[in-house]
Amino acid sequence: MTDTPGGFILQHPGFRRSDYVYDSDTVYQGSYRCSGTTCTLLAQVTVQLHEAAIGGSSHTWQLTMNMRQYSNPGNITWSYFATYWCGVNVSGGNDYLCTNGAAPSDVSMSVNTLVNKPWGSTNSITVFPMVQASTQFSNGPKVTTKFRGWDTLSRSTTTRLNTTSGTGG
Amino acid sequence: MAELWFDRELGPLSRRGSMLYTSRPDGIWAVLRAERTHPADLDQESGELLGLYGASAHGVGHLLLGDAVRLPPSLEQWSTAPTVPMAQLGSWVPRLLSIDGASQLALTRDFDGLRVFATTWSDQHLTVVAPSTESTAVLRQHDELDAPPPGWDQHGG
Repeated sequence: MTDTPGGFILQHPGFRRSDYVYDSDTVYQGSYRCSGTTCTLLAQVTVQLHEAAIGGSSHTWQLTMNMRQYSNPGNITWSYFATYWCGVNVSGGNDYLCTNGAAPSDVSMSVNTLVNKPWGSTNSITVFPMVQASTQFSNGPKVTTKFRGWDTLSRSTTTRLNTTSGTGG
Repeated sequence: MAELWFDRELGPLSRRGSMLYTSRPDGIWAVLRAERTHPADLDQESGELLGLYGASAHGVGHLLLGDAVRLPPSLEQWSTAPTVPMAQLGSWVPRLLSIDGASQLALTRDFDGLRVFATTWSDQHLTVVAPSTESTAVLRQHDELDAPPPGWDQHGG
């Protein structure tokens, strides 16, 4: 078993909208030009993770990493990147990466679109997605935020989001 | 790469990731492309197909809501906080649409005046939205479209 990477948290912590949908709060990533003690905002983007468990007998999440321009007073450019992992939540123990037919972890993920990620066929475990979202700004900085998704109950016919979730760290 | 869009003039388009859309007085028109979930396993993909199509109706609505497009209440509810598994969306009706002049089987579901088509074409799941007054959807691949380029919001201005 491979331990999950660290630093992924429920962002702020977000909102579990139903048994099947979780939305993180919106996070802002910005780039600044600093001179002496004064910094000027050049650009800002918003980042938010949308997690939908297909539910029932499915063992798949539909994830959307929403990244968009918020402001660009410095008229700079940037690129978005996202990387996906899948974790198994072990109560009182070390979380480990999903196995047994799961979509691979530590792989790049498209942003601003639907991405279907199976967590594998194992039942009676609790799983959660993790997505690292980065913005590389053209003036140099690369800003990264680590999103932990909501815990999901992997079951043969009654898969859904858990009532509560680990928060990560 | 060619883009898939309706075979009729619908005015300037907007883009959200792999979705093209336009919101007009006569309704919302959208085409969303998503990669298959189990690219090497048709059997497994087939077993999840209704759930994936329900999720695609959820997802296309989520993306449109993110761009402040107003949805019919039933699609907004499904796109925000569904209370049943995605495979239980129900009320799908089989219907043919057209892509590059060839007929293609889709499942369609109406949401208060909007019709969502879900189909799998060329190893991608397609989700197509059109007013319910359209009996079908006629799509074709376009080399050029009056739409922002991919990554349009990553660049200045």
